[in-house]
Amino acid sequence: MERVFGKDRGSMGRFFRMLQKARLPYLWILAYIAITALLTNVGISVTEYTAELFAGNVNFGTVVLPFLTFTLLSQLISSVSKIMSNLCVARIDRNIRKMIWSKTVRLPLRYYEKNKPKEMISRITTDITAISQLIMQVFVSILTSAYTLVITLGKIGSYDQKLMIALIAVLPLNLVIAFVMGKMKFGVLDLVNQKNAELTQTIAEKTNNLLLIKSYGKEEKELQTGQEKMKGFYKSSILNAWLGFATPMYALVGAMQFIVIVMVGRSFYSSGALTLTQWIAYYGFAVNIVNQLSAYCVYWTTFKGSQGATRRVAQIMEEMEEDIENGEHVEHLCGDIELREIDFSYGDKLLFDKLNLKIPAGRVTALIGPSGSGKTTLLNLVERMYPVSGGKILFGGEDTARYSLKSFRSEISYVTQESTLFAGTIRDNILFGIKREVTDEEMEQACTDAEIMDFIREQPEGFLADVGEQGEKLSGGQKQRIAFARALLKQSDYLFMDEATAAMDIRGKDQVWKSVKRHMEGKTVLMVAHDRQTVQKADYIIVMHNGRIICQGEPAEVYAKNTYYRELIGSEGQGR
Amino acid sequence: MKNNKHVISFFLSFYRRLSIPWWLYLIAFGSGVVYAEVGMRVSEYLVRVNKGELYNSVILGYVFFTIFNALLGFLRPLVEEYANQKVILRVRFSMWRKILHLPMDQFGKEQPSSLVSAVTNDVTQATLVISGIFSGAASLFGFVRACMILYQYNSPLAAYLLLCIPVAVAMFIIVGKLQFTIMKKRYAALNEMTTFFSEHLSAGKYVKAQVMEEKELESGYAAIDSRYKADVYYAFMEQIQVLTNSLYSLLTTVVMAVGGSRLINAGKMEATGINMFSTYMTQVNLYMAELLTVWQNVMGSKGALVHVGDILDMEEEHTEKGNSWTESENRDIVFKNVNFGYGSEKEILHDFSVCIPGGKTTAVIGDNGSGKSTVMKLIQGFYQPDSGEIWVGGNKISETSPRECHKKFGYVLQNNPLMSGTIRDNILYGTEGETPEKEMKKAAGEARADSFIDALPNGYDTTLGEAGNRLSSGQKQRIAIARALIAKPDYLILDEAGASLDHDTYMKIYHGIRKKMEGNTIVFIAHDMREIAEADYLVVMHHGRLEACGTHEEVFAVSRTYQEYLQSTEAS
Repeated sequence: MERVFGKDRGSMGRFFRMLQKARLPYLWILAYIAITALLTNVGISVTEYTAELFAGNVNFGTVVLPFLTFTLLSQLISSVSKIMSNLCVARIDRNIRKMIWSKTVRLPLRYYEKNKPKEMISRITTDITAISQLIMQVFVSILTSAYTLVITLGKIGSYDQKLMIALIAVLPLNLVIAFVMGKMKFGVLDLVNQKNAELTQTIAEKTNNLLLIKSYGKEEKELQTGQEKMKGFYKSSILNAWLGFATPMYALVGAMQFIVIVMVGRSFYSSGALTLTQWIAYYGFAVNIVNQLSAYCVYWTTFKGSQGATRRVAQIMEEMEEDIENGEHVEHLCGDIELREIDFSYGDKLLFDKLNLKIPAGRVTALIGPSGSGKTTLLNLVERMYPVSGGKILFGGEDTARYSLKSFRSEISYVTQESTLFAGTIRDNILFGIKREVTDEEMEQACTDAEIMDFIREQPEGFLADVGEQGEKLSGGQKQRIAFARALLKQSDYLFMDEATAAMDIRGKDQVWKSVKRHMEGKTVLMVAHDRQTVQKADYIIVMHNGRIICQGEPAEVYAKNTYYRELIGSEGQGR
Repeated sequence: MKNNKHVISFFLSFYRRLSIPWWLYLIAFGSGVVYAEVGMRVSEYLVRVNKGELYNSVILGYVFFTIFNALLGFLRPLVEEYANQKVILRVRFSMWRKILHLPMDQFGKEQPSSLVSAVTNDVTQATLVISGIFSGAASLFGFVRACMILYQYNSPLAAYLLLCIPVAVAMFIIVGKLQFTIMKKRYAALNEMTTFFSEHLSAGKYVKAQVMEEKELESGYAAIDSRYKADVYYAFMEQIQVLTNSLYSLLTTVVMAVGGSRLINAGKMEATGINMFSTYMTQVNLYMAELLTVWQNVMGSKGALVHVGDILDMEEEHTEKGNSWTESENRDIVFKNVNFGYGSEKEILHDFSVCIPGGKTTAVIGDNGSGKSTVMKLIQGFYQPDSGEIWVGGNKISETSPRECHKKFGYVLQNNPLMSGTIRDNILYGTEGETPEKEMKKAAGEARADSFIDALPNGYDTTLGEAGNRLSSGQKQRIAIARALIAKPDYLILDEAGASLDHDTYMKIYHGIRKKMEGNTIVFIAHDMREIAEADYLVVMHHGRLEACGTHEEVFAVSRTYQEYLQSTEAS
């Protein structure tokens, strides 16, 4: 069993610990096992009556009728057992998915940044199916296969012990070959998948960037690149087809087994110890057992390959969670924001080293500095998106560490750099995260202030217009306006804006800033910006460079002291 | 039948486009016939084994034919796969050539993802009809052979059994329809869940900032539950399918058991006759299933092939066709009464006329959606105007070879895609032949990309995949600018090229670009007044029309937009 989980020794324990948390549908699995056992017994009767028919014993009442009954019964039970198996898989999948999703939602921001969304998606959509299949097709199958083996061998043993032993003797040969072939098949399929992925990736990348290709006149070169990938896929497909040589291999092994089985059976048959009916039944059982065990070996090898998926899922369950409920409930945040002796690093790169900073309440503060100087990280830290390695973040002199994240974050409106929208209506998106009742007038007012109301009026469905997946139907500027309307509706005393108006045109920015001034009168605004028009709106400036505060104060003060700010803002009237 | 004719003529016209490895398909057919013949032999020996005729000759005969049969069972699909993959490869080649040469307006009609799936998935259906005809013929041969053997052995029982075949066909059709519905539903549920997670997993920060974890948990559970319901539905429906399918085999079993036992009792068939019938019926059913599957595949492949066919039929852009570029003293960019809209969408440019002076730096300004970016694309000939003319340096764009035209331009957007490969590959993307290292580093320097590239452990040979997470959008932008500069364009188009860079850096790059392009033409779109202030010439657009053009003073005198822009940026 250790092998399923590869070199990573602790992973088996980790896997079973995860299964414990997942609440497997044990009753369903037990029911499935019971039905499968029943099916095995009915199957034996079918084989026995078939043998009678083949041997020419055609009495209607004692043979034909039971044969038909058992055949029908076997068909029905087999369907029920398949349904049960599929239901078990569906339940396991659902339970594990829910477990992972509830974990994922509670993971800290750092996890989201470290892992690509694509990988996280495949964890919850495809990786977990490896687990249900591992349980049903490997763990549970080991029980059902073993049961079938024992029952069938017992039946043969009831004809003659030596027949049973002969059959047991030939089985390993099949197992070995099924195992080897399964492994090869897996390797080649892996190659085919990889080549297919490469092909898709190349074609998708180039197709999406056709404009670029045309702009540089690289059609011929990209034609070649694509054709190479296509040839690569062709070769791997052909290699896969060659794996068909398993068919004659199996036939060879099957033939050898056939010879052994027939040789052994023949001596009994010719001596009269075995009737014709028993011989046919014996032969039928032998074929069944060999087939079933070979299939099992193929599953086994396939799932050895899916250990990666299993491990990834188990790993996610061991990540540290962010507990948003833990801590004191904060009713109302107020006062200056103060960072005291903050240490923070990204991986092994130290970004903030004993950083001290005070952001005055009731003003519009701009955080400026070249890219990579730590502006967004600072906003994230104040919002307590990351845990700090050292130091304190205070609001109005109170250490925020004791507040629960849930209540704390609810007190701040944060318009992030990526203006995220979810599929749904404009209304859904504007009200996302607003926990109070909002009247239609209020919503319209917020949209007017965010300069998006005209656009909404133009939509035939108005607020109920669909924004498309990730808001793809809207332009960057429109998305930012919706994000801003949402921030206004949140009505908090602190507004953080991370390049929140970067995609708007000059007129739009101006309107939106007028609304900010009006709504946030006497409240605290903290923004990251790098265009002059936006920075001009601030009445307090903080200049950052490489994780340090190099200058802060009133605009005039900073203008006198700091070249970065001076160059950014330019001298008045230079606009013409 | 009319419909069928349509299908046939469709497939004929589809395959006429391709060269098909007929001889491989013929070999596959030949081996299929031999396979069927050998299969009959195997059955013959199997019957004898089950009769208890366990002589050496029977054992050896059975062994020999099984192995022979298995060998054919390997060779036949192998040859077929060679043939199929060759066809697929050829179709892929021609599709890819087509896609790369689509004009932008044709390209815009299809979703890129649909084009991609046509090349990767749909195309695999291309061989189903051809291979289906050959393998179907071989299956038909096997089917007829097995039926004949049964008929010769005992014609009444064979006749009864063959009467059941229409039931099989009917069941097959029902199941096929059912399958379609089930798969559609299942696929939709799977898709819905994946869409939900792909949208929400990339928005972790947003959810945290809005403190919406609980709602997220709920909606995620809902997505998972709807997938679960689809799985449960599938579990039941799949078995209904299986049961429907098994109706036919149950029916034949009943006929065989009841009819066979009567015949044996009446002395009209030998005692082991059911054994014989059962064995050959297996063959009959096998070949029938093959035939029906081929039929279903052929019918099912039409949809995908129509898509492939449509793409192959799309109009192509002939990159070399048209006049070659002629250099002249006049380097102006001129729009004469241009109207333009993307496809059937609403018109973007209305009667737009302007003259952008050559050899100077021009800023195009206006609100979001006023048509600035569209003008930039039209200048370079990516789209043709619906009416009106566009001239660049005395060349009429619609009559100039697209290849030559594109070469004259450098084009930098707000977010520029980089191709997979190394940083070097990307910077040198537009260059032909060998480019000296020095020149590449110079371009990187001009784009202010040199210092961060040098800081990377592998420098210019860093692949973007490995650096993907380490490079910020600003750094990627600088690589894209270097890529545009190294091609030494006569005309440089910058569409909000500085939006993802911090102001300081971009202004330095901008000054570098202006110096390098001195005497050549730059046209840029920007929302930053300082950048705009340094332009020699201004074009102001409003709702797809020209509002004003000229020097700063000229524009300031007449353009409301420009006046407002100046006011809003200066009043603080």
